[in-house]
Amino acid sequence: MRVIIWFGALLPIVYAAIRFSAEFHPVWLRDIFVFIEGYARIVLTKTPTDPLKFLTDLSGNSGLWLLAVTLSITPLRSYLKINFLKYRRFLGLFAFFYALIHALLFIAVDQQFDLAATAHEVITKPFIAFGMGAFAILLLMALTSTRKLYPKFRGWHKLVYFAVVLIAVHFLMSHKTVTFSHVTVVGVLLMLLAMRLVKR
Amino acid sequence: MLRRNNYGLIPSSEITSESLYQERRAFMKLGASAALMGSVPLMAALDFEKSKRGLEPTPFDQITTYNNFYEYGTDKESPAKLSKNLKIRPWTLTIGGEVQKSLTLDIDTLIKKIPLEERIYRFRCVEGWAMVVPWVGFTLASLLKQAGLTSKSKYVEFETLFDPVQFPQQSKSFGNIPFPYREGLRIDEAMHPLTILAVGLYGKELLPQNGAPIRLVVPWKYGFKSIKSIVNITLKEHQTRSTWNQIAPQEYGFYANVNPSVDHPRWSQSRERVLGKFFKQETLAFNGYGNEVAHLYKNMDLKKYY
Ligand code: HEM
Repeated sequence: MRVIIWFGALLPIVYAAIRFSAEFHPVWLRDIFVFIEGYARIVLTKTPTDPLKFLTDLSGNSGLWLLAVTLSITPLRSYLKINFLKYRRFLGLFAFFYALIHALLFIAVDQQFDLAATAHEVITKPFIAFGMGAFAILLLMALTSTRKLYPKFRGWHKLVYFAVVLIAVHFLMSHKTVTFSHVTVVGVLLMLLAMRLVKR
Repeated sequence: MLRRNNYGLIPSSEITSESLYQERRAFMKLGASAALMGSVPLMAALDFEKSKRGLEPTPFDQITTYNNFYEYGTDKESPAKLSKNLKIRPWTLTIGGEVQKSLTLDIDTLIKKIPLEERIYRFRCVEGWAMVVPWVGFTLASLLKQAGLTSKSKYVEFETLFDPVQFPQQSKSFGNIPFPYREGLRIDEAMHPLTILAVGLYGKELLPQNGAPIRLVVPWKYGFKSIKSIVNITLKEHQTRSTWNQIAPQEYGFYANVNPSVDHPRWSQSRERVLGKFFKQETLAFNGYGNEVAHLYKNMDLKKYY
């Protein structure tokens, strides 16, 4: 199980590596990728045109979906009696890992470590503030997820529900229009929260 | 009819030497013709006055695969994939409204008659990315003069083709913008020598994803002003419609001049991501064309009229 999680959670990084090495693929590998592209809606043979945007979106979406998987552990247990509880922390840390990359891309590359400018962005733009709020919560949870600290900070970890709402809004705001697929993503997140409200 | 576009606005560091540029152009043409054998439709080469010098153009492949064209979807890749069969001939362009003489023009006749020239322009999207495009086209002014302006010709409205059969998104009622797409300019902006109607890029006719067969290019404004696949140009007495401005007036202004000191509510406009580059660069006021166009907005508060 742990191997599957490692494998799944690192797929986005493998994907990024494939895309950024597109110019150097040997012919046979390129042929395989072209074949896959013919059947699946995925791009494998093209270096990202807008690399910073590509990595920001990839890390943001990976964080979002890993968080969704993390949040599905409890409903799986209460509704389907499948117990993956012991992997929850592991999954949550992977979600945080991508949120960290996402945040670092913004602070280090987008804002070039200009912390005053970053703070200005957070203060003046609700879109960034929501993202930063969610990130702060995930950071707090990651730091207090150790065996020693977790019992003391258990209650604080309920904040994740608030983080999910912030991320849902941040996600919707990151696009110029709201499309059906965006609504679906937000729907999944809200479902995961709603399943906790329904008492079992 | 030789016309030269020696607008003195290109910092010397960004000038590509003529021979290097020619070499690169030859290479790109090769690339383009190689692509022809694959899936890219055959685009005729154009006869035009070459630009003497210019910025380093973004590669053809990037300009033609990273597009905003909401008629095909909201992502950057769909336009190149879905637009291959756009029927760009025959194509009629009408010029009407407050003009002395309304015109109905066939695109081929127009391209044959009007002298074409190359313009290598910076292109800046409101989303924060930027590129450099070697357009081929002619000034909008030269066309508007054919129709003849009147004292009531104060604004120009442009309209993209409305054809839900060809543009799949135009029949969707949810998750996209209202169609047909419309944009507008004030008459002095429209008559400015930098404002062109482009019919080609990299020496060839435009591909559909870039707005074939004819599109507007206003290099000092955010890209959404540079409307694609135009069928109607209407001169008006009052300020025209502008699609993004109508959807979200607090985010997208009617003027939409590139302005690093006025942020979009969700992202900063002070810097930009050049396609193919990981690190951002400074955005220039009026996208670097301030010497030419700043006077148009002399007495305006650009924080208010963004
Ligand atoms: C540190 C605070 C954060 C900042 C500064 C931030 C910034 C950004 C930026 C600049 C974008 C791209 C918007 C554009 O298209 O221009 C974005 C998109 C996104 N962010 Fe964040 N973000 C933050 C936190 C988060 C967190 C914690 C998550 C979830 C784990 C997240 C998920 C996303 C998603 C899913 C997208 C959309 C990607 C897409 O367009 O497909 N963000 N964020």
